[in-house]
Amino acid sequence: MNSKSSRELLCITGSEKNYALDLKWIAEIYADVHISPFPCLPPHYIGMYNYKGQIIPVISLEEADARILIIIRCNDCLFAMAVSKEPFIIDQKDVEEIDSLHPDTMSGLWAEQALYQMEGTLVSLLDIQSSVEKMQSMNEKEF
Amino acid sequence: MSYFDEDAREMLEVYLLETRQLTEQLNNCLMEAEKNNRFAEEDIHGIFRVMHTIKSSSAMMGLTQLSALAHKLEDIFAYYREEIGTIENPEQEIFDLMFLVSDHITAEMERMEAEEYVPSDIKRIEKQAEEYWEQFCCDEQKKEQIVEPQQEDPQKCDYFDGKSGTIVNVIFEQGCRLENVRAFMLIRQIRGLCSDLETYPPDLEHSSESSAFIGEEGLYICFTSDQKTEVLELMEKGLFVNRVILIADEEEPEESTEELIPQESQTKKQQETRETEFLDVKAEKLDKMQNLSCEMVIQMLVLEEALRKNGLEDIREGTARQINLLISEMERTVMEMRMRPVNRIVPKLRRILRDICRDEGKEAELVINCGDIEADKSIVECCSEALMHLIRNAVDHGIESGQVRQDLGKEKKGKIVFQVESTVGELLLTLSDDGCGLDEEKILNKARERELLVKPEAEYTSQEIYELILKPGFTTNETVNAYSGRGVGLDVVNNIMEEIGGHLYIESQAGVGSKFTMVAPLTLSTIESACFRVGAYHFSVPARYVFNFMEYEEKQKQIRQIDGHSYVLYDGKMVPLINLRKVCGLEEEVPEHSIVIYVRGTRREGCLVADAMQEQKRIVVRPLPTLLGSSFRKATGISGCSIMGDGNICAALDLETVIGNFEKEGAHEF
Repeated sequence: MNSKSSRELLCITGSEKNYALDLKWIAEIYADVHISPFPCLPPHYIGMYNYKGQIIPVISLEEADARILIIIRCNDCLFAMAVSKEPFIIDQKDVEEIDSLHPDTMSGLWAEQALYQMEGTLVSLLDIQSSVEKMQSMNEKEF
Repeated sequence: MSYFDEDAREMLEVYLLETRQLTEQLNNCLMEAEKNNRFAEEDIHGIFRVMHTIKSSSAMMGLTQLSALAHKLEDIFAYYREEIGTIENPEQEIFDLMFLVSDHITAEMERMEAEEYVPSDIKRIEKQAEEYWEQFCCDEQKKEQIVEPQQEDPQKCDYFDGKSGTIVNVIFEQGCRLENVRAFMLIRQIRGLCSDLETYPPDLEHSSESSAFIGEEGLYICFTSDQKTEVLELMEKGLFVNRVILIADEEEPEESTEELIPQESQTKKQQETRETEFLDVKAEKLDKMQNLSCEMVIQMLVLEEALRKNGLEDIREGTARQINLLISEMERTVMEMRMRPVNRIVPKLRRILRDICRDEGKEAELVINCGDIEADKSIVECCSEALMHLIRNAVDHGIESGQVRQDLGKEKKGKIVFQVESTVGELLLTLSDDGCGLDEEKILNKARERELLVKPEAEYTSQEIYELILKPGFTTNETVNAYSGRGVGLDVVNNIMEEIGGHLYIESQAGVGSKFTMVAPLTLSTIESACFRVGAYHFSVPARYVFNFMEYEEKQKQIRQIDGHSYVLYDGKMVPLINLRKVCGLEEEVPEHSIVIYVRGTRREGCLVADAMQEQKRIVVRPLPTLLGSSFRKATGISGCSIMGDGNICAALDLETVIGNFEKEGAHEF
């Protein structure tokens, strides 16, 4: 079904598929930053970042060299998503939602909220709230 | 929409501060009277004054129900004051009633700052007060007699420099407190009716020094108004106004041979000096100051690193060093400002003990041994909450009933000892009881039932068995009562300790008693730390725990494997040797010039293997990101993180946990 909403999304080009984030979760975007190594982090966490005096974990979207950080704030959680390519803004009006019966959980860390089609490619809208809950649950089990 | 109007909202902060102090005073008085089984004359006077003040200030805030309740209690104690003097063997009902009222006021104050605050229903308490009055006090209602101070001759007022108008001297009720605030509120009421108005003291709103003057001399007002009668009537009816003395009326030129501004009296000077020694400061402002000073420490580290990298040694050793010293001094001062005596939590502990003993029909005394030890305000608050749970547990689970104790040959009255000590940078709070102690078998049975055991029962040490009771929801109680049985209390204590970077230790002996020791840092701001590197990772350890550095090569021949754990010889004994490269998941050989750091915490000691020492610095250790979860610290031994001068992020090690994990799992071996 085509969504007629004029909501803007941040689109991220991945190595095999594309992703999108609702702008309401995004605090800032940084490029070429120093990610500090930190011991004993769970899988997919690539280090820590000093964001305006707050130390936040950096989680990779895909397992690739990533130097662009998208700072995400969800409830009381603040973290950075590391991506390799520069993201861009798309309008939700310009994409077509595809009915997806089985949301893709992508390596078990990121939850999917919806699936769109854009210029012949698939764009997975990430469910940040569910992803954060999932990460917290996984970390409780891990440790 | 807020319950309080704009004027009342402005006063709310002051009202809450004053009322909290009054309820604390009330509680202390009641506890003492109950202990002595007697209300002395000064106790009755004290409680009367407290209720009188709460009545008036609550009325000013529009809290009519609370004001009416305080009025009822004021009547009771006015009766005692007038008719009886002291009360020997007072009825338990009066204590129950007064504690109930005190708790209600405390609970209401906690809710008052919320936007959606609505006063709760107090019919039950009012009924209880009424019943008490009917049953125990005189039938004839006694009106409170406020002792009128001696009438003073109206003085010629020299404060208004010959200004014409009506001059009055408003005397407030003795002991009404915050006289400058009362005066300010009165002036607000009459200002609209006056074409001209001046006061002495002039600054009522912001100057606390005015309070002393007004308390002694009264408030002088010079006003001009077409509605003079109404203005005077409003003044007469003002809250806390005792009387209004008319000094001069209209168009009277002042004889100006005398000094226009009075010389400061010796008393006034002394009062001013006393009042400038202390200042009420909102806690959140202290928190903000602490955050700012921590940020300055961090930025100073960054600046020093930048100066070093750019070879600007002159500036680094000169101006930067001076700034660093000033920042350290400021940081120390902020830390001192936040320090509070630990013994401030004692009245609350006594109160909890009193309530729970009463409800459970047990007797116990609280022995306090804390001296003048101080700790950071946040630490004291957290420990206060933890201690409340521990004391509940001590009575509910530990202290036996009087009969049982006597059968066991113990004193009928149980004993709970609260002791506070401080070492370098740490606070040790111990709560011990002489009750029945922890039943290890019962704990193991329950743990088995809940499938919490991770190894054969026979391998569990006593400390490990006791630690099982810290698990969420763990309880050996068959029933739940108002105080315990849900398995929540000790879990809360444990979480509090983890939050502040502290530890909880348990010792117990069946039939003899239990001892809970909380070890907490004295302050949460900056910590003098030894920083070192392991591979690409950076670690820090509080410097007070670091005792020696050695070359790894020298110690290699002194390493032994014992029961699958690595130990190294130090000072004539074998201590745990922890390879931090393995902790980090770096499967590499120990580099040639690695170092061994001997560390000793509160209870454990050991040696850490690291690649290289970096520096010793005062750093700000921040809590770990919430996303990592609450178990990260326990699993890894990393309790926090810091920003270093070079921009790297350093992991703060919790030695007790690191060495404890080593001892439990033996995971870190060569």
